[in-house]
Amino acid sequence: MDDRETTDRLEEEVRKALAALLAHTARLRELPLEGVEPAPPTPDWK
Amino acid sequence: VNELTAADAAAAIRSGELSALELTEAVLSQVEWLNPRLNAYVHVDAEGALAQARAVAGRVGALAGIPVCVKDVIDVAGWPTCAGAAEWRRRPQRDAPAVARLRAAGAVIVGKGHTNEFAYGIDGENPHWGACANPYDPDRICGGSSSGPAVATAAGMALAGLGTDTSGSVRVPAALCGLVGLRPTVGRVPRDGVVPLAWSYDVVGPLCRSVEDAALLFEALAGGSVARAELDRPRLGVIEELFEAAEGYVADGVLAAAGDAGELAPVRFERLRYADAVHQLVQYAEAAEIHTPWLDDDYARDVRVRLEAGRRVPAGAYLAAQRARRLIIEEVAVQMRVWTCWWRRPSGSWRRRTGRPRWAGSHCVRRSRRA
Repeated sequence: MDDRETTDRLEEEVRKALAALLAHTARLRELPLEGVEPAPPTPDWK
Repeated sequence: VNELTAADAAAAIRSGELSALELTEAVLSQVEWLNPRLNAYVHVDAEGALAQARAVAGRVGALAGIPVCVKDVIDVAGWPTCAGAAEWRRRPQRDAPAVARLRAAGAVIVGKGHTNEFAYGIDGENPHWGACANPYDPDRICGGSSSGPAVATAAGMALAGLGTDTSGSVRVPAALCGLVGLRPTVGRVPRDGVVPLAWSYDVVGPLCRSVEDAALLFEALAGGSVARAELDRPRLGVIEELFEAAEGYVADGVLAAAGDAGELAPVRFERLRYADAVHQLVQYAEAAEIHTPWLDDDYARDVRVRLEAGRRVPAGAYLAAQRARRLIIEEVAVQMRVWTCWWRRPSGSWRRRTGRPRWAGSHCVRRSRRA
């Protein structure tokens, strides 16, 4: 397999992975997200 | 003696029945015998471990003399942190606070444990450093990404391990190696000096041979005494949908054990079905952001695919995921007021390497370890 073919195949896999992530995003739109503050990266454990 | 639990070994050392030096020598002997086959350690400092064990004499720390394997994404002063990477390295001058706390409690740090590349995987495979083998059956995966600490602890090459968990990286290898793995709440144990994967989820946690050992290590890692509730019949909520994918005998066994321990009742989370979507989006995006400076390096193909995809996640998708995450957290917080704890699906059964592990990427080829 030459470099070009390897790159094309990698790009195809990246596109598939991204499509799966965007499908996840579409599902999240089922939730009532409007007006919700994004969660903090480190929640207060106490 | 290297088959003792940490709690029993610490008690034996305190009573004088066993010395920290004897225990460390036994562990190092096991490392010499088994590590060439299991590949649990990527770095061992035998002389340093023996010196630490000698220094323990007369100390009364909760972990005095207990040999520990530290995952190689966590800094130990003077040893390279390689994170299972092909090229990336750093040589820290200071211990990560989590390691410093274990040392302060008397633990003997034996070496650095194997990990999936940058902790981004849960099968214990690594194309740059070789695979870590399951000590019970080399044909089966050991789980990851805290593969080294799990295998070392299960095989008597340490009495406990220190790992990290973003998507199951303590819990999965603990389950597949017959150990107790604890994922503490985010922020409960300091994660400075740890190579990050996704900051919304990264935690440092112990891999142990018993629940008592996990409590001992967690107390040390949390930096002080942790309240222990004495519960007669705790109320245990069973998240039934999480058991649906488990094999019947596994689910039955877990539920039988839970039923012996407390009062069981089903609990439902309406927003649980969104948790995986949130997790994937947040982890992909955060990991890509962390790795952006290093993307010219050599990566395993499956890791590179995730990182490149993560770079293209729109900002709006990441923020939607963090909003959804807040809604899930709120639902969990409400349930936490009702239940003592929950039982969730145990990790999947051991999968043969010869098949395609569900968790492994399809391009995870093995190479010989780099010098």
